[in-house]
Amino acid sequence: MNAGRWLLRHTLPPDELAIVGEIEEVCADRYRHAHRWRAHLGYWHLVLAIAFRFTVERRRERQHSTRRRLAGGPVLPGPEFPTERNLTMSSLLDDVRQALRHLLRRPGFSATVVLILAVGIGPAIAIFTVVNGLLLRPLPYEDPERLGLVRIDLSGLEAHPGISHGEILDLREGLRSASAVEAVNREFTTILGEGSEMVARKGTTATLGFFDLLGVQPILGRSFIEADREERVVLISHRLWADHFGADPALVGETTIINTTAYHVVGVLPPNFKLMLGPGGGVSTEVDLWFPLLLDPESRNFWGFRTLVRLTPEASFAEARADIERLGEEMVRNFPAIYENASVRFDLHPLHEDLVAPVRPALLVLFGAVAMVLLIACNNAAGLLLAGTLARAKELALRQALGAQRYRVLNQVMIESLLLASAAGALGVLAARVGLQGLLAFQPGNLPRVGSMVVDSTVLAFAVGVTFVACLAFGIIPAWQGSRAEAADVLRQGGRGRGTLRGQARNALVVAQVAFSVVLLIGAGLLIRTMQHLQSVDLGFDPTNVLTLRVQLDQRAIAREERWAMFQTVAERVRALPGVTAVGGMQETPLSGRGFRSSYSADIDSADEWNGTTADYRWVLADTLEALGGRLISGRDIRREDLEENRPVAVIDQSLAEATWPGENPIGKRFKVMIESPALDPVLEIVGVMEHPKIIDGRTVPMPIVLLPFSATHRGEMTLLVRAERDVASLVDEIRGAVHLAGTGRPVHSVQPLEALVANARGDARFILLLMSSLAGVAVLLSAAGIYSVLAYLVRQRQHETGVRMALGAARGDILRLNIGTGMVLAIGGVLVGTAGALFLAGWLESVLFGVAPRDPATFAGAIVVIAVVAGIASLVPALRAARVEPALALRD
Amino acid sequence: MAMNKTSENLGEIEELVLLAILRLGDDAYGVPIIHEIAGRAGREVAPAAVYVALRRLRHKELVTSRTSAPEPVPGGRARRYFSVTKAGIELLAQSRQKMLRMWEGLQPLLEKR
Repeated sequence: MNAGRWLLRHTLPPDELAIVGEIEEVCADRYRHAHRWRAHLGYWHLVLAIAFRFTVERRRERQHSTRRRLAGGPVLPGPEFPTERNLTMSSLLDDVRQALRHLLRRPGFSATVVLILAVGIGPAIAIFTVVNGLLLRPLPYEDPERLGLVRIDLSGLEAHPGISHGEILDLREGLRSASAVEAVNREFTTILGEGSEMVARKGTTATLGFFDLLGVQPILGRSFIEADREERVVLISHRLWADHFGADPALVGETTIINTTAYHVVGVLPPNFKLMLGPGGGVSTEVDLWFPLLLDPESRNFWGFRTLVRLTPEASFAEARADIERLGEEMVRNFPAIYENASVRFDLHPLHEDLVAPVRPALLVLFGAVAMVLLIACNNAAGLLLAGTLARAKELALRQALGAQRYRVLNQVMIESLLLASAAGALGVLAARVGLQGLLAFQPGNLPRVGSMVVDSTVLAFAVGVTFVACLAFGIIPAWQGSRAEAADVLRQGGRGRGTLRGQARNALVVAQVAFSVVLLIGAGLLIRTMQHLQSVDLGFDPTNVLTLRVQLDQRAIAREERWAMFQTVAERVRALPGVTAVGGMQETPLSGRGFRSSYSADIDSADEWNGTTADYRWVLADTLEALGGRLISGRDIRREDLEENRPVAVIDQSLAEATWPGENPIGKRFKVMIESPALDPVLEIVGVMEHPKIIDGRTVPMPIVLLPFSATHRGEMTLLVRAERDVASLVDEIRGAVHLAGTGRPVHSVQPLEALVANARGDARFILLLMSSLAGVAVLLSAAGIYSVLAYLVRQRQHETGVRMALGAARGDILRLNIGTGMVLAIGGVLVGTAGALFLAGWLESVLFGVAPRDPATFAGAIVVIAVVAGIASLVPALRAARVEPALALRD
Repeated sequence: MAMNKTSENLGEIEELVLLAILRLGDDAYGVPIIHEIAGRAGREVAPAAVYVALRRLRHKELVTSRTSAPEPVPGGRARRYFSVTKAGIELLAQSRQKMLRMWEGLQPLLEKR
């Protein structure tokens, strides 16, 4: 109601103000029995109708009276001259119209300002869309802020997301702050269909209450129930239902063949359902098949189950964390044989926070960068507008001299700014929508929640906010400067005057632009160095011309003890293909980030001495190191004989060798590993030492890698590594055929060049680098344009002065030096401020850098040189123009 | 003023407003005027139209207005009461005459239907 009154008081003629109260009376009467919202709506309808009618009416009256006056007729009574109260809607409309006319009269200038602002606003909106989708929008589950993921620190495996069956049941029993504790397994490959129809799809198992905990209801059929303990049932994804089963609604209740066994399809999950777990979650959004997970209280030594906790409405995360830590300590006390003397700590991470933690630092860095580009753009626009206002100084001064109040002039300039900012904001939203698609096409693939990165109402609200802030930021200085012009001064100087204060404001703007550019350039430089370091990191293996593919066995047809032999046969058949130079096999794909980690010890005699040492173990076929392109330092690779006789041998990397037997030759030494595998003798003899291959990922602190013969495991799945002389991708079909002929009974899948896996592991750095570099590029261009435009303006202003100087004998060189000097002084000021800022802000970047210090002097120096060169060029052009001035012409002007 | 006010034309709403003011007598301000037109002529007029009509009538000096003291209750409002001037009444009479003359002899035409 108050806003309505305000609007009417500013729209109605002063002699009609009684209407304000009467309207409320009309409404009170009319909407006596109506709903509050209906009454509000009715009131506003009335207010706006009256405001509109009276605005039109007064316009009509004015025209009427003018016509009569011109016709010599009588003038109608009534307030015709604007009073202060009269700064109303209609005069606001007049101002807008006038501003629009003014801007359209200079289309080039207006378009430039709009484009510059859009260059700043567009990226800000695009990055905000990502921030919004990732960090601000709640996860698509019921009460997502009450969900947590259990992580454990186990023997130095930092914040591992998996726990064991027994632990899950203990948490369910003892965690009072939780209303539900449910778990999901890591994903695995399942084979759907029979015979030639077989396709590989990802599947996993989840506890019976898992979907209830998330608050996810199947769109068809049902979720898991108690009776499913006894049955073979499966829940399928909407994608599988649509792609594979033709969206057949009768599918629910039918059986389908999975891994050559019949399963009942009990339900179809909703199309938008995605399980999103944080780093190391092991369940991708590709999972199509969900089987019931039955918990075995006796199973305590396999920590593979991702466990979600729903807090009770009363509990806080702090309480739950304390509870869970206490329960963990109890477990360690109750089962000393399980945990040995490893350090174990249970923790609970809020699900959303856990998910976005790895990308948050990079995202905030980018957000900072776009904010700076926005500031530079505003700054630049302010510079242009200031020059524009100064050129209009005469007009504005004249208006003031004729009685326009100062705030009317201020208003006028601010409205122009607002119009420009609005156009730029609209353009920015469009640019952001287009740019976002490009951005997401380049994203490294590990960015969670890509689907929720859309321009929604929050983003639009942000866009409107940014536009207004931008408008204030770039509009206020020119408006202030324009309105403070002393009419007499300006008019006396014939518009040529150069107020020192205005000059200072402009100079400050340029210095700020250069400073922001320096900060961004240094940031981009540091990321370029990071990328260089990542590229030049010695992987310890050679990924060129190596193809990786997953091979799976029909585990019911091939006995456990014969599986390694089948894999070895596959490898040898592929090796026999022309062009193939080496073939190996490994149970996990390199760089997939998934290894099999456990403790080891050089002390083979004492029973339980592990010393908290952890290594990453990989079961391998013969000659795998050769296929991987790894480098042996001493000894030999795992050979066929090792597998045939299932010898207890291992190849270790030099980091383990140096840590355990410093200065000694480890070949022939024995060590024991904490692995329970039916065919593995835990005491192993070292037959080879290799250079550490960075097959975990390219960046994390390396963990020692140990290769063990595949014959000691009964796994039915592995990654084949095929090295060829050239262009291994062209061999895919032949390799598939060879695998099929070997008789695995299952198709191969996940075919990828090893180089692609390496590139992917470096992807996020490349992504940030790409964005940072383009932002820095834009920033440098904008600030160069800023220096150029200010200097060009100055040169024009000084033309008269230059003419006098030259007439008095100044050489062209002097004039050139004078003007370049002015530009360079501004640039140096900006560099000093920017360098100080970068030194201050560099710490923020630390988390996304690799192999370069955040205050790397060489990078700082490089950025400064780039800015200096750009500033030099930007100053040179107007300076040359000044030096070419003909003194006679300049003086005559 | 040399203007002959009686030569002014009345709009339909203006005429309705003038008649409503006459009917209401001392109680003629915005809200009852709107009600009177709605109640008697069966016509829902937009309040904005009524207020604009009142303004025009005032400028044509067909009505005069006086503002009352605020009602003696908390939040009581000052109201603007209207009364029709002599010129207004003259114009209404002319308008009525004009209409009656136009209707003369047409009564049977309506009754036939």
